[in-house]
Amino acid sequence: MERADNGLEVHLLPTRETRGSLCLLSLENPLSGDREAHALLPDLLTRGTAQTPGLAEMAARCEALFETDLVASVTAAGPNQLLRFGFEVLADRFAGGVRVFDQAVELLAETLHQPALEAGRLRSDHLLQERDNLVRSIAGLRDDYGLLAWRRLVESMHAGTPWALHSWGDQDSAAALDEARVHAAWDRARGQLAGRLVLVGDLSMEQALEAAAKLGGDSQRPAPAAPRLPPAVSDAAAASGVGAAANGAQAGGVREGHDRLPLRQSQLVLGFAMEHEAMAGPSAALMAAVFGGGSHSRLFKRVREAEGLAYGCGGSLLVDSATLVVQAGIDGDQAARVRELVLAELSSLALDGPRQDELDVARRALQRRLDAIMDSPRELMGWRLFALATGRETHPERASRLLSEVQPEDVARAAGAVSLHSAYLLEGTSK
Amino acid sequence: MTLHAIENALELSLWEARLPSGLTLRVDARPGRRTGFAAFGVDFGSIDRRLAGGGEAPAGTAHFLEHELFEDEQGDVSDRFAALGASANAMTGFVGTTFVASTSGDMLPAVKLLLEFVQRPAFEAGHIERERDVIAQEIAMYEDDADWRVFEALLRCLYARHPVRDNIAGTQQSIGLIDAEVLSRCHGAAYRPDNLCLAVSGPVDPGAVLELALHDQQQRAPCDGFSSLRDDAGESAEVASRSVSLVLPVERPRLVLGIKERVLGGGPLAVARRQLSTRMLLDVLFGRASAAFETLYGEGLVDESFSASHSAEACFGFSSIGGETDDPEALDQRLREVLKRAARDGIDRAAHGRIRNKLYGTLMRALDQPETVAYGLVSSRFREMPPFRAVELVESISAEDLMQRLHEHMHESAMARAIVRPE
Repeated sequence: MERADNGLEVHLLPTRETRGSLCLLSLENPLSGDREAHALLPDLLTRGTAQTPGLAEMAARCEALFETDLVASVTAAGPNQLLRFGFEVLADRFAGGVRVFDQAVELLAETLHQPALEAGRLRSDHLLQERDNLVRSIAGLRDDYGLLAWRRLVESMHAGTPWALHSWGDQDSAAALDEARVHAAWDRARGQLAGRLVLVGDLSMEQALEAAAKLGGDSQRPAPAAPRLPPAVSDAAAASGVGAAANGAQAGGVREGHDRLPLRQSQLVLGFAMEHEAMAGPSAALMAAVFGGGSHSRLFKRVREAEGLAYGCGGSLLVDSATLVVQAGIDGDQAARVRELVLAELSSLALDGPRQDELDVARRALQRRLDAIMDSPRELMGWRLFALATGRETHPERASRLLSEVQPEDVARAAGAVSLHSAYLLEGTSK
Repeated sequence: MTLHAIENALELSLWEARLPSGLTLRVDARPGRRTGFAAFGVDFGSIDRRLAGGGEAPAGTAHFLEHELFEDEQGDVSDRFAALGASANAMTGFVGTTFVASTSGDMLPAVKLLLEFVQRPAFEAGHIERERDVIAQEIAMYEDDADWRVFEALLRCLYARHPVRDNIAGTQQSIGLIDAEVLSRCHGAAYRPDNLCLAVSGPVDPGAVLELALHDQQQRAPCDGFSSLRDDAGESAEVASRSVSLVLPVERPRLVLGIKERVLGGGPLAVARRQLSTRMLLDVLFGRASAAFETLYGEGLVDESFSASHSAEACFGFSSIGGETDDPEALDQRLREVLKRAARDGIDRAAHGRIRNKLYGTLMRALDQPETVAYGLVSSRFREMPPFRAVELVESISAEDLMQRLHEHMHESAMARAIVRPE
C-alpha cells in the first residue's frame, strides 16, 4: 500500500494473468450522516460530464472503449456508507494500441470532478430524475421478500445504531433531497471523504499514483477510520429504548417480529449476536460454514435434505456487525419446527463440537473460496476492500494459514458464544 | 484417441475430442490457476417433453431429474464433492441441463465424480417424495418473484402450445405426476453419451482428462443416433394473446413487451446469426447509448432495471423488452413507437462500429472466468457452432442486415405484453 499526496490509500495488485484491468475508488461516509444525498451521487455523476453531458454520449464513450464498465454504487460496511466509483476495462495489450486504461481514468475523473453543471449548480433535471429513481429504488427494495425479511431483522437487532441503516437511506428523506444537500455531498466526495483506491492489472505503481492524483483531487483527505463493531446488541436496544413494545412480543429475551403478506412462501429469519472477540479470526467463519454455509452444512442437511422443509436454509456471518443470520423460505405453518431444528443444531454444535469430517469439509470449502479469490482480480479487489473496511486479514495466503490452524474446540467455543437475539417471520398468506 | 486443438484468436488453449461412445470432451487448460470449473451438459431441458415410446412427460420433469441425480446409491452426491474440496451444482434451462463442479487443487477426482453421478442414476421412491417437497418450495419461491412472474406470463402470451410456455420447474400440480418411471425413461432417452458434453477449464493436463473420460466411457453402452425429445406441439406463428395483467403485492409495476420469433430453423449458423443480429439490433434501439433509452430515462418511464434481450433456438425464439415502470401502458406505447420509427426511418449506423468493440471487450474480459469458458464450450457444442465466434460473426453482420432483421422480426402482429400491477 502507498499513500498518494492527496491522502488516498493506494493498493495495487499487478498481474498479467488477466485480459482486463480494474480500478475502484471506495469513499467512506458515516451512515449516520446525510446518506441519501451521498447515495444519489453515483447515478447522478455518471449521468454526464461537462465534456460528455448526455447519458447516451456517456454510454457511447464507454462502448467505444471496448465496453469500459463504469462502476458507480453505494453499499455499506459496518457504520459506514461506501461510495464506489471505478471501471473495468480491457487490458491495453488487447486493444490494438488504444490506451484504454488512461482514457478510462480520464473519464472517471471527469465524472467525479467535472459533472454537468448549470451556473455552478448540479443540473436540476438530472438531479430531480435521479432523486425520483432513488426514491423508487428504496421503495422497490420491498419487492424482494427475502431481502425485506432480512432487513426487518437487521433493523430490529441493531435498532438505534448505524448498523440498522440501509446504505440507500430513507424514502421520505430521499424524496426531500435538494440541490444544496446533494451539492454538499458532492463537495465532500470530491475532496473530504477518506478513501481507498484499489487497482488490478498489468499496471505500475506510477500509473496507480497518477490515477490516484486524478481521481482523488487536490484536497488532503483524511485516513480511513479504524473499523468498528456495533455496541453489544443488548446495550443498543437499551440506548434506543426499543424493546418488546416496539418490536412485538419478546419471548425468553428474544425480540420477535411478525408480518403477513399475500405471498406463497414465508420467510423465517433468525438473528444471532456473536462475541466481538470471535470476529478477529477464522473460527466464527468456520463455525458458520459447518452450521449453515452450504450443501454440506448442518442446516441444509437437516432442514432441507432430511425434512424437506425448505428449498434453501443457510446461515451467513456478518463480520462487520458481529451477527449470524439464518434464513429459510418455508411454509408458514412450519416456522416453529424450522426454528426448533436450527436451535437444536446450534446447541449440538456448541456442546459436542463439529465432527472431524464436517470440520474438514467446511475448511476445504472456505479454502476453495480463498483460492478462487486469489485466482480472480475482481474477487481479490472486493475481498481486500471489505477486509480493510472491517479490520480483517487482507492477504488471502495469511488467511489461509490461519484457517488451517482452527481446532474443533475453537468452533464449539464460537458456537457456544452465539445467542439468539431476534426472530422475524414474514408470513405468506396466499396458498 | 487424441485431442485436437480448437483454433481461436483469443489466446485460449482449447482442446477437443469426440470419444468412441459419442461423448464430446472439451478442455481449456490453465496451468497457473488454483481453482477450476467443470461443466457436464446434456441437450435436454424443460421443453423436451416427448417421451420415448409415446406419451408426454409432465412439466418440470427435466428439472426434477436434475435434482434427483444428486442422490445416488451411495447417498448425497454433494457430500462426496465436498469431501474432495469441491462443490457441485446444476441448472436446468429450456433446452439444456448443466451439472457443474467448482474445484480447488487437483480437478480430476471431481471430474470423475461428475461423470459418474450424472450417468448413473438411482431413483428411490422415498427420496423422490422428499425432493418433491423441496421443489415445491422452490416453485413457491419463484411464484413470489415479480420479475419471474411477468416473464412467465409473457411466454404464455406468446406461445399457445409450445412447451416453452411452461415453467421450467413445473407447477405444484405437475410435479405431483412425476415418478421414478418418468424420470428413468427420460434419463435413459436423453442422458446418452452422444447427447452429452464435458467441458473442463482450469489447471489440468488435457491428456489426463481425456484418459479419465475414456476410462469412464468404457463403462457406458455405446449408442447409435440420439432421437430428439423436442416437439413444438403444433405451435403457430401467431401469439396466443396480446396482453395479460397480473396483480401482485409489489411496490413497483412492471412491463415486458415480447416479440415472438416467426423465422425458425435454418441450421446452426442461421440460428446464431439471428441471435446475434437481434441482440445487436436491440442494443442499437434500446441500449444505454441509444436515443430512445436516454429519452425514456429522462422522462422517468424507465430506470436501471430496463433491459432488452433475445433468445434464439432452432425451434423457438423471442425478444423481451422492459422493466420496472410507473406507467406500463405509456411505456408499452413508446417502445412500439421506437420500433415503428426505426422501421420507417432506419437505425443509427454509427452504433454498429461501437457494438463490435463492445462485444469484443466484453467477451475478452469474460474469458478470464473459467465458468464462462466451460459454459460456452458446452452450449456451443449443442448449438453445433465453434466456440466463442461471436466477434467473427459480428464482423459479418452489416447495418443492412440489422434493418432486414428489424423488418423480419419486429412485427406488430408478433408482439404481446405482460404487466404486473401493485395490489
